[in-house]
Amino acid sequence: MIETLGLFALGIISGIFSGIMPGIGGLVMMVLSLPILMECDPANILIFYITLVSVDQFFSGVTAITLALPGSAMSVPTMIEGHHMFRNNQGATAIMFSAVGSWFASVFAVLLIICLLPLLNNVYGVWNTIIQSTLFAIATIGICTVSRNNVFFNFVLFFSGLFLAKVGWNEEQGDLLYTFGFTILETGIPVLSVLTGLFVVPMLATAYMKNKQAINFQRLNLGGYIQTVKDMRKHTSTLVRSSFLGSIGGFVPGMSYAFSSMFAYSVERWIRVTNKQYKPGDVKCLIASESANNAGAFTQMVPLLFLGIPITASEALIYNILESRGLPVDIEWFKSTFTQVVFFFLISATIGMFLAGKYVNFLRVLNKLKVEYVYLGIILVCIALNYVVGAQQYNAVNQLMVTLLLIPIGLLFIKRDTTPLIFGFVLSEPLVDGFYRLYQLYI
Amino acid sequence: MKKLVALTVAAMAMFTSVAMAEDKINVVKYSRAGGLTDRMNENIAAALGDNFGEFIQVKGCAAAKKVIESSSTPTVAAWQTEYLVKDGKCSVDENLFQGSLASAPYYICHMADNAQAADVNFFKNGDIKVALWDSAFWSVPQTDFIQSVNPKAKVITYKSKPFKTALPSGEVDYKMSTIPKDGEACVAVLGETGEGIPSGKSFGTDSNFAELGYMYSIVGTAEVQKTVHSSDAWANRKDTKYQTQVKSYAETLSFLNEIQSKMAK
Repeated sequence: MIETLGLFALGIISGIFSGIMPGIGGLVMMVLSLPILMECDPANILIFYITLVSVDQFFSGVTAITLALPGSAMSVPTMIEGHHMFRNNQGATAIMFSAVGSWFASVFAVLLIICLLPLLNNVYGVWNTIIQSTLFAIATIGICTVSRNNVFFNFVLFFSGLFLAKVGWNEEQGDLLYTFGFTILETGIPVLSVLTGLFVVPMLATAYMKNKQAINFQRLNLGGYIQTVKDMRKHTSTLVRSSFLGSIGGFVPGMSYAFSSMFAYSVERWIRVTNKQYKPGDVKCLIASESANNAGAFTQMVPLLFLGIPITASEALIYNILESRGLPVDIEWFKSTFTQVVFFFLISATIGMFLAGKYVNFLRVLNKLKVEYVYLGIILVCIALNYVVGAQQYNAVNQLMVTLLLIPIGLLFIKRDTTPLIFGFVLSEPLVDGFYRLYQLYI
Repeated sequence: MKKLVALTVAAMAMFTSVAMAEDKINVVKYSRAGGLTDRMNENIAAALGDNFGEFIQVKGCAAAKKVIESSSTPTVAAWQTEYLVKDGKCSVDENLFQGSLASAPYYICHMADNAQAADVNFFKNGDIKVALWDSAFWSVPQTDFIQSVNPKAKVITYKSKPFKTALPSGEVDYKMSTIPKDGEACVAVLGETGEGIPSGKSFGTDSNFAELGYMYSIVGTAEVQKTVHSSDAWANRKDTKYQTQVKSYAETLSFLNEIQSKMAK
């Protein structure tokens, strides 16, 4: 019991840290915690992971909204809508809707899975390459038709993202691709470098040119949460739709809740644009992306718990830990942990929702700071984190240099929306692989 | 005189300790922490015991190769055998090949509740689809064996993560991998495992790859293969799916060349 509570607490701390620090995702925290996890009860490893992932979602959302720091590629939609709201003195609204929506989505995902329990053993019977590729195509077309640039330029950006993701050593081909003889590119272009250079920098530059007011964090309190719960009724359809889409996205092997966020956001923004209701800083789009990733964070566990299949790198690491310790990794054991996983997921989601508010209140120390200092600080933090994250993967200098090289390129995109490029970069492998597999299967 | 002897002994001790420190063997880690290759490197380090120096951590096999080739201290690494293919970015000279390390045979498996796939005649004669891990290198001998048994077989390549869900999706009948999962049953194993599963050779094919497994070698500047294989740490490792393998450089290269010639076709 003490070990369980200890790992639960460690999961919360790790989730806070990975949520706040860009590039330090769940996998990095899992690797850092490996020496501890190697000695723990196997069920507690799952509790640690689900707690980490759940809390991470709340803190990465707040960090993306207030500081425009993307914890990962899935925070991109949150940054686009949330930071715009924050800079227009709607920060409290953005954070509250994001946090409360995320909590509702967590509960929705749990209830959905409980309702589907009898069918879960055969979830991948319907969740095959055709369905997955269709969803990738919807997300692609969605984001390329609704982003601020013209459609042609969006597709150019998207395909540029696909291409950039292919650069470097390709394990499957056993060869270097598109490095053009540059040693620096041999280890590939890291996602955090792309986010920093081609998304954060142009977005902050654009935001600064539009609004030079000092940073202003509004205080959050319990009354705000209660009011937001009441106000959430106006967004019920968005919340339910996004929680459902996010739950589906969680099943995508290799992407899981990162795709949940992109998928739900693309669909919601497409609906808003089609209805001529979309404006930058759209609260419905924010709710969509933030609620979807929390729903996906839970449903990503389903393949592991009900089929014994790890679909993310972190889950594969859990699987490896169990295997390397000679512990049973059979489906019955995984299923037996379901109740515990649900319990700790819901508890951690509730704690995450309230701790995120405390975090925002803490950030009020930055109030009245000149926005240029804050944005410059954010860019410097991103650059430093590229070094730190690169060091985790034994690639510090390369990653730092790639980031610094991408920043001037990013500055060429001021006043442009580089979201399609980021989506292309992140979706590159599953999209290309999925369509090639369709060709192999049916043609 | 006593002082002279003491000084000489001290100097010799210092020299010996320096020499011993130099004898320590470093291990290069170059892959994702916790992954199979990473664990193989940890197994080597554990097997070296007191002779283990430190882990040198770099990203990717190309960087690891540079470390091994340039290091002045003895340095070794577990090497995915396909990296040894001549002229590859991660291939190393023969003098750096320290022997094979471990291998696990490929299994051809289906969902345990798939009665049609469980029928070996369906495997041999049906319009089957087989999922393979998307490796430009390994998919060649795998395809060669499968299509020598059943020329109508279609192979589908999957990246690592979707590969795991290929069988449950129902879009393929079989999956070829080294580690069958719970809930799967196997119609063939390309080796002799004593598990009662038909071996690749029992299908009587003319394929040269009826015995095939994923392999790790040891490369580096220290002869450690025997030390590793004979150590208690290696014998007592918990993850034993990969069994000890002893193959010479010539045997390994001949195997790689055979695959390469198939790839060229």
